[in-house]
Amino acid sequence: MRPVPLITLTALWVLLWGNVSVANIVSGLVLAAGLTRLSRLPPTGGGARVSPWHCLRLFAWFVADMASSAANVAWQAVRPGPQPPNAVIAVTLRTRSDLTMTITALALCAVPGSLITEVRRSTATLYIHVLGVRAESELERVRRGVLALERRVIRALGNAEDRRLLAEEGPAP
Amino acid sequence: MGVLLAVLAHAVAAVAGPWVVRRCGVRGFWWLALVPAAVTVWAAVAAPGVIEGRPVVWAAGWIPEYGVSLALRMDVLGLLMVFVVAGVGALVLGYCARYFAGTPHRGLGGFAGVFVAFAGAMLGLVLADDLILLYVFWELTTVFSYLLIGFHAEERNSRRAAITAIIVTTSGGLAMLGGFVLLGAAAGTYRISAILAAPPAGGTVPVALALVLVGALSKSALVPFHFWLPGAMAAPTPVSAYLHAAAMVKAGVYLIARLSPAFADVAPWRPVVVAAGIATMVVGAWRALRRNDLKLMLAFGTVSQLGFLCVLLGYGTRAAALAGLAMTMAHAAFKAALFMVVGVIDHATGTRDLRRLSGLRRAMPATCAVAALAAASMAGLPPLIGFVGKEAAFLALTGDPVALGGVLAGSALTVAYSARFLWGAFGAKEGHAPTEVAHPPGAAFLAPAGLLAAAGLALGAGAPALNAFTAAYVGRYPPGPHDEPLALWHGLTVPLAESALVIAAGALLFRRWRSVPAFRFPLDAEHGYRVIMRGVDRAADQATRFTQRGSLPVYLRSILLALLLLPGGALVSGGPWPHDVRPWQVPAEPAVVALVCAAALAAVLQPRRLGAVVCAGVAGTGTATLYVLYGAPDLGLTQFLTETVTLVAFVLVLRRLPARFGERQVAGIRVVNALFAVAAGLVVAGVALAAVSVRTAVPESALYPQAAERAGGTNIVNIALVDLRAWDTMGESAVLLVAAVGVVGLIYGRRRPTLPRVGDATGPVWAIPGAPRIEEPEAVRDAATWLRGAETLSPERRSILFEVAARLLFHPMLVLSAYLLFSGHGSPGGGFAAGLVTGLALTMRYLAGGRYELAEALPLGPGVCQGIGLAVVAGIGLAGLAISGEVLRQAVLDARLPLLGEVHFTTSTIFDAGVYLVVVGVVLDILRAMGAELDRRVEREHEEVATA
Repeated sequence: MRPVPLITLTALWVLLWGNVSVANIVSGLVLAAGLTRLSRLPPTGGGARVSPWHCLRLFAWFVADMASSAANVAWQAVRPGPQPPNAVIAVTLRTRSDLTMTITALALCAVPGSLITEVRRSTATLYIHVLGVRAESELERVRRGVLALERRVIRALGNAEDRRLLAEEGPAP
Repeated sequence: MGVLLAVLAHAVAAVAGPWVVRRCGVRGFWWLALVPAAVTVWAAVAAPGVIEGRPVVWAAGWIPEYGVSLALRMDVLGLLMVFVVAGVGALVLGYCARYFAGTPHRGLGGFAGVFVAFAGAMLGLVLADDLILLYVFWELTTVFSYLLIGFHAEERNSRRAAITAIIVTTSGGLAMLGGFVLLGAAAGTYRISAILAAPPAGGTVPVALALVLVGALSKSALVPFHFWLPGAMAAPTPVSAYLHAAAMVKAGVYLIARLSPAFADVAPWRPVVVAAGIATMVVGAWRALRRNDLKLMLAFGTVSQLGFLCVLLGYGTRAAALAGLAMTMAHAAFKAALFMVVGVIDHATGTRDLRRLSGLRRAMPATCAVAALAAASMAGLPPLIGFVGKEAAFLALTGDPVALGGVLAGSALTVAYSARFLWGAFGAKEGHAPTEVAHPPGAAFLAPAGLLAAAGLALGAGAPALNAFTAAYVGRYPPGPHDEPLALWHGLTVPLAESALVIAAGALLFRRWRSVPAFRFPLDAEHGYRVIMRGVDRAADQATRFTQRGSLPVYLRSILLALLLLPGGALVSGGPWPHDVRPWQVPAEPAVVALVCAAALAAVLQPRRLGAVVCAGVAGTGTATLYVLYGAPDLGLTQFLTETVTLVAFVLVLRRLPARFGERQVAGIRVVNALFAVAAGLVVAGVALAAVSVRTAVPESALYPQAAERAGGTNIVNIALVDLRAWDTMGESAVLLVAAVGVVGLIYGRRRPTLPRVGDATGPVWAIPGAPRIEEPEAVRDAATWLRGAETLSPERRSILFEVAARLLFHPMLVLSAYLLFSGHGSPGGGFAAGLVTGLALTMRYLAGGRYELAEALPLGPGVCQGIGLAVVAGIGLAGLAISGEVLRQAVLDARLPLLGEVHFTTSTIFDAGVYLVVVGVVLDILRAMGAELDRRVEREHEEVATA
């Protein structure tokens, strides 16, 4: 039995009930053990290192990005003039980790204005549909934004290899 | 208590019967025969007290509001019938052990169980002291006899006979139930003994009696219902010997005997009983005379004798009743014995056609002796009980030329067919070689028939003793001019002369039976029955064709039309409109309502099915938002979850439908549909408005907070579901399950297949032939496995994002659903919502990993989930019954445990867990039937296209 899912599920259980008590922790552990036993998942090799501080930063950035993107898309929807032009761009990430790639992609999906249309897993390439891109230079800006997001995700919960790749590349511009 | 045990012992033996017979083979019948034998002994022990006028009584309340009780009572008539039912039952069961020996019969265990169950039901019928209870046993005998007659279910004749028997007797039974209800209402009680002690009169009583007679006549196969009995001879011979001689057909006779003391003089009783009885006696005997099948001859003979018995027992005089009881005993003994003899002959020679039988008198002398003794009783020869009974009957009917004449004629015919039976079965025929006897019967095979035949002799010899036995019953009738005790010798009397005349005429008829015309009645009851049944079939066919057109819009319009006409009409004709209507309660409401309206309109205008479904989903979600705005988070939560699951189910099905709606709709129809829709919407809104303004009483919901507190929770919605209205929830769970089973049945058209596992995968799942791929499968061969099932997917269908997300979210969603399940008592949630969340978690795994992922996510089939769930729900109900005497009574347990602290637990949580499992099972069913099974078919079609 792997300890990480057990602990996270128990923590979720206690959070749902809203108070920390022996009964809640014990019942949570029993439940988590039962669930992971009943419905087993294949091992993935994992290795994610969670940094609470960077997770918090990632979350804060996400909220801010969500707000600004929403405002941006809303303006594009109501402003007068022709329909904004769209683009699909391919961004190849540094990471080799499915988890990092997925979280990066989901964060992009969640904010308005950008959508993942396809993923090439072997090279960690995301095909992103973006709204309101007018010039080549703007595309470059989007690409840099995606890579910056990936950096935040790796800092928050990347594995050792992710972090090594990041360190090789040097500090963020 | 003894009466109850007698019936219960049969019930237990019936349940154990299949097991006993499977264990011990045909010998098992011996063991089963012990039960009715023991009841016979018990009745014999109880007899002295009963004869002295102290009936054995047991009663318990059943439905006190209607005065219906579980009352059993054994008086003299009941005692006599117990001897007939249990005594003959034991002998016939013993006979079965030899009858079925040697030949393997499929379903013999089930047969044994049903046979004993029938005996128990019959016993209950003659012991019941409550009209409704009597009716229940009455119909039980009908159902069991249906199963027994149709024992050879592979034969068309057998099935037809069983269906005719059940239709005729249940129709009569229904009429009888109506009669019972009228009678019970007129008397103010359903207790038979109370009704007989103070019989109601006037008003509806004649109608009630007429209806009861319909039931009795149909059960006892009297004209015009007689035709089902000869058909029922398709049954195995032990069944005929028991049901069609001693037991079931006696039910009608018994009912007439039971009610006659009180009602024989009420208007329709005597004329109906006597007319039907005489007609039956003559017609039955007449037709018996010309049969060549020995068993059919006995069957028509039975019809005839039942007519005779009804005349006597329904006549309503002391002398007739005495004769009737004597004949009832006589008939049970000789007719059962003769049926058994026919079975013996059939076994020995392989035929029961008298044209193929010859010389059996020499080959089977013992059988011949038994048959002769029984037939002599049937013919009414001294010194047998049949003779005693007939003498008494002739005497009792003196002074009624019609009845007496009919009975004399019938008796002469009886003598003739009795003689023909003996001659046909055992006589040596000219120009006919003696029939070969392949299996001479053993003593054990013949013994039951021999015992019954000997009983006829013993009863005849001991006839005077019967007077004391029957006194308590016969004494209920007013004394008459012909009250003579039963005896073999009354001196040189008129009845003796009549007996001699009957025997002589019968002998003559037997001599010249060929000259008896094969007279066909212009009104053939069986033909009439066929005509009626054909008419019913045709009418049903027409009605189905007219109403079930197979067009969903037509169905919908008819349903809506009813809605418009009935509640709509009531509204228009002056609905109670509220005085002050506030346009909205919550400021956000108008916006949400506008969104819902827009979504509904968009759903109608969408040319594509998927678009319409999404728009409908938006409307539903808007409605859920309204619930939340009104402070009903439970409803909102459930509605949100339901919308999501519905959307998934829709999308799964839409894959098999064209993307666009059909273009065939005529513009005019669209306008009509639109009018219907708008009108229906207006009516529903109007009804809602009117309904809230007609309330005069204090709403029951005012008591809910208090009730919820007593039930140990704070979430009123959940408490209502699992505690206050747990019955409803139980019923709804069952309905949901039935619907799921129905849908699955429609899609699979057969039983559910087993759970497909990843190892069973044969080819790539969800493959799109010729679709471009973003990467080759080789490139990711060494990548980590997030979901095992996803590796069975066709490469163009995989989405790593979805796989990772599904994996990460699956267990947290299950934790959330567990939280909803356990916290439902105090906060929004409950088993239904929890089940939907689990269902959505499973849906996610299915969509990310294909059909083989389902077994990975939950290694349980939908049937298992649903079965356990419903069992838990029902089990809690029964546990409540067992512990507190109230179905679905819930309990609250509060305990202080060391370390864990206060623990609050209610049994309704277990109930809710049952609901949870049912819902999970239903979602699994949807995923497997509409998802996995349709996937499989799509793939097979692709393959066929590819190979073609």
